[in-house]
Amino acid sequence: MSGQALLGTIAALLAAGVVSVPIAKRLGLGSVLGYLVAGAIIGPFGLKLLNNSNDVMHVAEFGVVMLLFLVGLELEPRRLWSMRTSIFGLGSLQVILCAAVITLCMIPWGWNTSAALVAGLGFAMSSTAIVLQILAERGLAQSSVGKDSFAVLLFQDLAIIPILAALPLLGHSADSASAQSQSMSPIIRTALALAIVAGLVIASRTVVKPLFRWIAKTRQKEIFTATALLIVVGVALLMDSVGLSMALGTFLAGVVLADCEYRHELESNVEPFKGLLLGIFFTAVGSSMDFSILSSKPFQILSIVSLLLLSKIIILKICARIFKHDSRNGWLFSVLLSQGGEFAFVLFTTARGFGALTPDQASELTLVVALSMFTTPFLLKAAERFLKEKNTQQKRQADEIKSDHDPVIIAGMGRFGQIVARLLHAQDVPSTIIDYSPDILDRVRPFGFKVYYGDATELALLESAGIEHAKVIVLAMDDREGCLRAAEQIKKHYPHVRVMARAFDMIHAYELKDLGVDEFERETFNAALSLGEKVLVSLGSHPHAARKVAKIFHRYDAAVLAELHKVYKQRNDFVSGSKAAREELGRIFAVDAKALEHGGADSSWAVK
Amino acid sequence: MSPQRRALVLFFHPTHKASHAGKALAAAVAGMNQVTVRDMYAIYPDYLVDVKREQALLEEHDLIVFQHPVYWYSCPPLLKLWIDEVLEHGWAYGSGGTKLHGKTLLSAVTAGGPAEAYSPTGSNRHTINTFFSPFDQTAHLCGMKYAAPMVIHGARGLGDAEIAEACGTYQQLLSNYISTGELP
Repeated sequence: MSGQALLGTIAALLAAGVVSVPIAKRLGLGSVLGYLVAGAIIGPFGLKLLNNSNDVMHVAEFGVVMLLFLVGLELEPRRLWSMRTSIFGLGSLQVILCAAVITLCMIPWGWNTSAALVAGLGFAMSSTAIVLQILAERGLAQSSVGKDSFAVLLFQDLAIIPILAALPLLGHSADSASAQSQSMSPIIRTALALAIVAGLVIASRTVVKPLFRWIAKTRQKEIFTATALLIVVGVALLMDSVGLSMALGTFLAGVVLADCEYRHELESNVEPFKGLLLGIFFTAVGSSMDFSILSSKPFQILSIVSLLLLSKIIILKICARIFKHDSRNGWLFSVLLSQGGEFAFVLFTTARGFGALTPDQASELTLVVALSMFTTPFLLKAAERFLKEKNTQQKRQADEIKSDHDPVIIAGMGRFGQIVARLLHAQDVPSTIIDYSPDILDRVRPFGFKVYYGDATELALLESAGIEHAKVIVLAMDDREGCLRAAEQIKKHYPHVRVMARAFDMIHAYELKDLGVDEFERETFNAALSLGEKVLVSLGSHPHAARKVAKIFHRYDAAVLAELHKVYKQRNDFVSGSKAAREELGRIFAVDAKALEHGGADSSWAVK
Repeated sequence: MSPQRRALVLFFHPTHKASHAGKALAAAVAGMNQVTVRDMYAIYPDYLVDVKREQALLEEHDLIVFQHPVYWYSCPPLLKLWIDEVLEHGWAYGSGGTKLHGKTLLSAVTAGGPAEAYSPTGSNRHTINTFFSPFDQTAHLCGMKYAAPMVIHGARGLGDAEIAEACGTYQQLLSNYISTGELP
């Protein structure tokens, strides 16, 4: 590829992402779908801007490798160990059941046993890239669904190694030399892999730390980035050379480096590359789809896609049930992992090499996997909608049974809402909680809170949560616009309810006030004030005097806020939010100087 | 002094739930013409007295009432803090400190103990006037007249009728002052 052509390809990839990802996100479908569609549009069956998607995919697959490295960095060995039941129990159950069911279903359709088995094994794998990306976008990574999904993905990563090793046995026209090398050495290769991991553990303590310290001293940021990338690429190559999957290898490397003091630097340096490469990877997947196969045998392709999705969803749901997920989490889990993954591409390509699949079969199966990747964002959105409705209905029924309503509703149970809820709980004030994290809801339910899953900006949900009978609603969602929308709805339909809101900053406070919100508290103000007070004390202020200054400043600030609100109303109707915030900062510093002029800390008994 | 005098009732009670009589008394005078009632513990929950605001209010009124329960033979802590900070040198006393001259200070207090306890032979060994001599002297230093304290004894055990009676006395006291400028 000439330099110009390469730049052209890069430009096409970037432009497609820039256009389609924001649209997909706006539609609530997540970035993955945006990239896939972008790929299909610029691919050989669309604008023909990207014709060599396989090359691109090989480079971009490295995004998955980096993704797993980053995931590994977040997982200390201790936490990984605590997940062992999920990884080996849930993971193996899922892979074995899915592979078996799909294989058995393929045989009656005229696929020979070995091809059906390759298809079954390939379809059993889910897409680490898609699932982790979705989990991160929805903030579910730390939830029980997120953890178990990750455990299953991790097992699949492990399972791909023996599967790839066993492929030559399924082949008909086995290329004897490569079959030989693949089948001869699993024990030696496993030993080598273990030796590499052991070497990594030692190196992370003896080499990596001094290396980073030495690099850090040069104060050349790009060299630091280069070092981080070198570690990832180096480990990946090492692992690959002994036949371990690069993704699994770098994941292990990540785990080993998780307690290294330079972890955060590693993370922040690798992160942008991972994001870009993953995006390009999804785009390449989208562009690799052979729509000519789809148009020539639409029925066959679509039935295999349905087989893949249906059998996986049902089996995953059963597995989730066995591992004690409730119905909601079970459905999320099974839909999340329902697609085929990038390992399937590797598997099908390799299987074709060994003659286990015909070229036609390989491209059919590859298309099926790519199409299944398309479905996940839609299925997930549909599942969430369905579960929300079901939930609301259930709660309505429950409401009819109990007639008592809580005086307080807390919308949003994140770091802010939790503190409000704790205070009220400690005072035996009954509160109803609205949040969209099933895990948090499960955790607070035993403490006597009534809990509602869903979006507090939706009036229907607020109504089933008993807004009509509430005295106060606390808007504590981590969602600027959401707080405003909810405040507007409540003030319009239930004006008797006092609305008390978490404000993100001054501008947000003004916006809330303009919507008729009764009380607001800027989320960082009191904490920052307390820290400022501690700074004064550590500089030698008497603790009582510092506290008093902070309190005076607090009172003064409320007055300034009211005053500047008037100015803001007159001036900032057409100014962007961030510009308004900067102007506000300028104004506030100008008046702060006068803050403590009178009514200072020690006026009593001072003789003038 | 203007013929229409104004009274400022500063009500200090930190535990509203326990304040049976005190709350009723404050509520009884809150609606009266020329009377301003301020629930100080509600206004200053964190004990941060707004000195300028308090001084401005004092200047606008002629009768200042400290209404509070008797705590340990004296007042609740916020009133003491209020006195420390609001009655500034050069404003309330000392050179140029004439802003309160000619005004009247009244202590309107609720006491748990019976009237008999506040006597040389009772369990508290001193009269209310003796215990409250610091307020008397504070008023004196600031050029104010210190009226005889209005004391509601046995406040915790009062029935509704007795509280209503006390409220009537309190209202009478304030309206007398407003029209005549005199207190007993």
